[in-house]
Amino acid sequence: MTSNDISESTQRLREKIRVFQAAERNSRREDDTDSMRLGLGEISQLIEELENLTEKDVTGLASRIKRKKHASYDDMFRLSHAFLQSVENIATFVKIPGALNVIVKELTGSDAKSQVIACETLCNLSLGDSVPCEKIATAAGSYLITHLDSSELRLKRTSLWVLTNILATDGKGISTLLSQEIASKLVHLYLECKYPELEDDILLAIDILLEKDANVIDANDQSKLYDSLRTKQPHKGLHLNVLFMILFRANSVSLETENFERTSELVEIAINTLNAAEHLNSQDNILKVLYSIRILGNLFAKCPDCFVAVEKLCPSLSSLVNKVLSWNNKTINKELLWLVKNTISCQTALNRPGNVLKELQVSRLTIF
Amino acid sequence: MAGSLSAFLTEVDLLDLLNDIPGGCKTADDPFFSEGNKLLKPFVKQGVISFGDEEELHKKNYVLCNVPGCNKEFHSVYEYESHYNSLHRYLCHQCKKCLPTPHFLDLHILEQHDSYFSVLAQHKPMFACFLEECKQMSATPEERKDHCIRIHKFPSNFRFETSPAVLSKGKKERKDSQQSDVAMEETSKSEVASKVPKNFSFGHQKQKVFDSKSYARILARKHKKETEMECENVSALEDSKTVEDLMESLPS
Repeated sequence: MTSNDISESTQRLREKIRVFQAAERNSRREDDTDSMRLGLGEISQLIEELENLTEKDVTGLASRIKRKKHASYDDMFRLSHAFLQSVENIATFVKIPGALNVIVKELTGSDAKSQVIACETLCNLSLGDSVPCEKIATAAGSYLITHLDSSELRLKRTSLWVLTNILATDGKGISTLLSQEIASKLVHLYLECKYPELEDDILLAIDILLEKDANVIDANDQSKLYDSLRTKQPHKGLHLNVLFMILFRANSVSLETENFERTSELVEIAINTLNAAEHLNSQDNILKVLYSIRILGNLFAKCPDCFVAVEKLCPSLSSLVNKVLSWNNKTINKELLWLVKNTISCQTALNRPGNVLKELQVSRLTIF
Repeated sequence: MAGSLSAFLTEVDLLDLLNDIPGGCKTADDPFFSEGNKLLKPFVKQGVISFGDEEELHKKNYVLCNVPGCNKEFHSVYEYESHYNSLHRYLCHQCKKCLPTPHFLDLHILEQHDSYFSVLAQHKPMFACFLEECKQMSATPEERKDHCIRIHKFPSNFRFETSPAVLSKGKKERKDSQQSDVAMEETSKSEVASKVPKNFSFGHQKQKVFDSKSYARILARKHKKETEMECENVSALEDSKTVEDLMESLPS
């Protein structure tokens, strides 16, 4: 072994450790930010010593803030915790006329801390059904959308969370927000976003919007979003999900008009994601694998020419398919076989020799 | 070896299997993907929780806001940053008004401090919508307010309204309505009110202060008197002239 070899191997080891540590930091950061967010009722399970706030307490607090025409930090904290505890507390608060307006007043006031706490209170209020969501959209939708441009990150992020919760709830709240140009705002926010931690939250909101109705984002914005997603090298399942939605659901970014270079880029993204995937133990990995398969399958069906890019990037597609097949997931294997069928049609259209089927190792146990 | 081979499907088996699978392009809502979609966890709404204990860690650090005229004190750098971002980030340097976003600051500067804008606004619609994404231009702030309420479902008392014309109109309307209410009350009580003297004085009838109104009244009276006297002098002069003319016209 020469000194050169040693230094090279040491460098490789160091690089590996560095990558591992970066991944560890990322996952810890995600855990930390996740710990800030809780679903309805989870707070009572997590913190047993927490004061149990009943509907009576909520009524008292709401009357108090109404009487004073002002909500203190403590009032809003208590209301916020009460909303996290049960949906009944939310329903009680919504029934009291004028109480929500006090929170909205704090949201638009001149005290920065009060603005953030009011926004958090609204976030927890939006955990309720369509009625509170509609009320928030009507009374505070315009302010929340304005705060998306705020330079105060916490306010910006919490406003986004409230809006996402409203979008995820069926009802008039969505139409109110759509009339306030939320779709366009979200796309612009993503395109100009300087905070990587916020990007996923924005994409999640866009994904929910696309799920509801793909045409709410206009063609121009979709095209911009598509370009941005493609060039940013999507490394998360959610990115691929939105990319797929824009390409194959919204139908505004037409693949027929795409040039070869662009479709090759898409193939590269999908192949690289499949190559990098090592297991299916997380939601993100499932999303990544599933949407890579779907994007590749549809690309082969729509633009057979892009198979040339696959041949360059991955000379042995069958080994990649075998890797995914070895994870023995019946649902994913079914979609994988659809990809294989489209690959064969692609090869036939381009008169390519070779047979993928010969090299495939499809276990009898994992098929249907 | 034979056992391991039998574990995998043969080429013929695979061909049969592929015949059952529909090929071609599929959209996200295609029934073929419905099983796969079940693998994806649906979005679950989440609230947010803040930890008050965090503030305790920063209790001894005091940060002063150095913006002239503010001098607010904060326990943590985070609080100061939050305060600065919310109150001093988008500040109009001319009138020191704080706006929530760059778009609102743009609107404010254009509409309040740009004379070129005010000239142009007389000739064409120049008032941009409060939503940056909306490209609607209105002729007046009132028209814009109507547009925002009608199209974007803004609350009628939108708090980030910057135009003083709309604000003062709103205030004036409120004031007028209040005044009319007061007037109605006053007319009903007018009979009672007329009997009650305006003020009482015990011993000192005149207030020992500078009463600007009475002083103005005195000045006005004095001025009136002077003008009357001047008029009288002029008429007297005119009269004497006519007498002289008549005297001259008489035969000698």
